[in-house]
Parts: sequence; structure tokens; C-alpha cells
Amino acid sequence: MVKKSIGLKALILPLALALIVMMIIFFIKPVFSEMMANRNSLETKRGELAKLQEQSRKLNQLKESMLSMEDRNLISVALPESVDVEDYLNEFYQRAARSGVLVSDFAISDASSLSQPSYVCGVAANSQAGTVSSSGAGTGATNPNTTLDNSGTDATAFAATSSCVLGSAVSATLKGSWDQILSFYQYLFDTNRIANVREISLAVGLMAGQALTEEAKTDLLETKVSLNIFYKPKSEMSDSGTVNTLAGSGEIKADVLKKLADEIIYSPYEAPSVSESGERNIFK
Amino acid sequence: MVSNINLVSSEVEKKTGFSGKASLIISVVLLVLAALGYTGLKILSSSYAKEKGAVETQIQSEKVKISGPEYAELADFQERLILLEQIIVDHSAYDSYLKNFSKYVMPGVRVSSLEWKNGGGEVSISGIATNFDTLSRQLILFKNAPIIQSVEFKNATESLSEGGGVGFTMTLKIDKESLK
Repeated sequence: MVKKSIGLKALILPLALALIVMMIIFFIKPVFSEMMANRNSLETKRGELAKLQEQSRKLNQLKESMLSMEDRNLISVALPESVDVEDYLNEFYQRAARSGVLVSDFAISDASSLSQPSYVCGVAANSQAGTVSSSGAGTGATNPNTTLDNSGTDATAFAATSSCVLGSAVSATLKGSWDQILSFYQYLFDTNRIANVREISLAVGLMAGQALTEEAKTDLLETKVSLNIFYKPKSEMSDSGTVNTLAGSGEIKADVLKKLADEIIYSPYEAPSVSESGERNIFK
Repeated sequence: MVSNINLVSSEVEKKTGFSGKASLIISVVLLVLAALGYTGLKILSSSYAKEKGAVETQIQSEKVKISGPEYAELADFQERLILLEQIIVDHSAYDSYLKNFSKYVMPGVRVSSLEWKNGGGEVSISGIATNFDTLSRQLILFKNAPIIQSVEFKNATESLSEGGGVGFTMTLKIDKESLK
């Protein structure tokens, strides 16, 4: 009886403890590790979610800020979504007419030289750009010999990425006096649509066969300009790099918009003011 | 005759003794605690895993929202601004440069043609000067002009025609910054 009592006391507790230790080793510890891993992973995911929500909040703020920008439409004019040959032709002729120069030749085509700047997409993208050509004398927007071909515009859209633009080459020949041509050059700089001069030449407008001598003085100058114009198809989906940068920096590049609005984009047309009395010297 | 001699005093036996029942209860309690601990950890682990799944779904939907059309307009606007920033670096004002340049052309020199190449970095000039003395002074003036980096004189030929003068050609290297 004494042996039985001692045996029970001696065996039950150690056996139970041994069982518990085994449970700890084989069941509880793995489950604990799994629980800790899940907990850590959950913390990481929560952090990631919080970051994304913060990004989303910042992007919402930026979107509101963008929509409230008064000059934001300037961007779509400066860098349009398609080649918009007609619009540029119209703007070019208007500027020529305002400066009083005579447009004798105008052509738009794709150009391999456009691939030179780092911001222009590859030559393959440009190879299908729309073309325009016109010839013959004329000022202003009326030129009967102008032909347009925009068939390649949609085909080029695929080639544009978020980090480059597509472009076309414009070349034109114009005639006018020194002041008129300077005025036209100013229009080329103060342009609504950004056009960068590739090459430009200015020469005395001599008659055919006339030699350049001191006697052969003429006020008429002839200028040939080669320009690059650009466009970028609209992105239907957000580029992750751009969005991350936007959310990271938390600001839109408003300085570029300001520079465009203040220094480059031509101020909108304003109607001429008329004197209330209506009296003036028309020869002054 | 067998006599039972208890060598342990009754106080000591009370202190150290565990009855079989008590040991059993303690063992059962310990086992139950271990089982409860295991179950609790299992439930907690599964709860974390479930919550993680829900958070992952939220992350996915946020990612889709960010990369989707909701912010496409904003991203497109920013991309255009970034590209325009690069494009306007090459945007040059030739009118102001020409006006400035004309200050460095002497009265006795008449330019007949100007040709900018290299995006405005190089200008080829040809024209006519009244005589060689004027042309040489013009070259010195160009060389000292702050808007001109270097002058490369090509040739000069005396005109035999009625008007006379000295025809010349030269190439000027100009600072592109002066075109901004």
C-alpha cells in the first residue's frame, strides 16, 4: 500500500511534466513561432497599407491642387496629346501674319534628327508621324497649296512612354524686313506650342543672278527655319514610377508651369483698346 | 510479529507530502493549461493570418487604385511637366540674340547671311566689309565680344564688281546660354 502511494506520487507528476515538455517542444513552440511570424508579417503589411493609404491621400491632395491650377490648360497646348498638325500650322501662319513676314514654303515631316535629344522617343516612333507640306507665296492662314496627312498619328501612340515625347520636324521659308523677321523670331520663342529651333538661317533676299556687292542693298531678308515640335499621347494608366515620385515628393512641378506661363507661352489675344474721345493723330 | 515504525515525524510528512489525488489534479491542470495555451496560440495565429489576408486585399485594392485611371490624369500632367522641363532647356530666343549680336557688327560691315547650326551653338556668317581694315577690326570686335566664345575666320576676297568691298566668311562659336 505504501509502495503504491509512493509510485503514484512519484510517477503522475513527472509523467505529466514530461508530457507537457513534449507538447511544448512538438506543438506549442511551432505554433508560437507560426503565430509570431504571422504577427510580424501582419505588422509589415499594416505598415505597407498605411504607406499606400498615405500615398493615396497625398495623391488626392495633389489631384485637387492640379485641378485648381488656373494655367494647367497651357500644358496640353504646349505639349499636346497628338501631332495636331493643323493647329500648329494655324498658329504658325497667325504668327507669321502678325509679324508681317511672307511664308513661301512650309513642311512638316518626321525627322531622324529628332531622336537626338534624350527626351524624344526612338526613330521608329517618329517614322509614321503625320506630314504636311505647302508651297507658294502667302501670308496668314490662307494657303491653298497646303496638304495634310495625319494617317500615322494613331499608329504612333503606342510607341510613346511616360519618359519621352514624340515629335515632328517643321521647316519653313519666310521673307520680310529685319524688324519683321525679328518679330517673327520672337513669336517662335513666345509660342503656345513649344517648338525648338533646330537650324535657322537668315540671308539677304537677292534676286536671281544678283551678286552681293555694296550696291546690291535690299531690305528684304529671307529666313529658313527648321523646328522640332512635340506631342505626347495621353497615358490611360498611371505610371508607377511617376506616381511614387509624386507621392514621395508631395508636389507637382509647378515651377515648370510658372516658367511656361511667365516666360514662354504667348499671352492670349487682347482686343485693342479704343480711346474714349476717339480723337487721335492717325499718322503718329 | 511485525511492528510498523514511522521514522518521519507527522509535521514533516504534512509539509512535503503530495497525495496521489493532488498530483493527479496538478498534472491535469498543467496539461489543460498546456492544451489551452496551444489552442490559444493556434487561434491567435489563425486570427493574424486571417487579418493579414484582409490587409493584403486592401493593399491590392490600394495598388490598383493608385496605378489605375483615378490618378492617371495627375500622373500624365506630371509627366508632361517633367518632359517640358527638359524640352524648354533647348528653347532658344533668337530675336534677342540677334538684337544683341547686331551691337557687335561694325557700321562698315554688312552681313549677307547667317546660319545657326548645332542647336544654336555655331553660327556661319558671310558678308561684305568696306575694306580689309574694317574687316580686321570686325574680327577683333567679335573675338572680344562676351556673347561669342571663338571666331574662326574662313576667307576674304576683294570684290571686283562695281560696288567693291571685301567679301568674307567666318564661323563663330557662341555660348548657348546667351540664347536663353
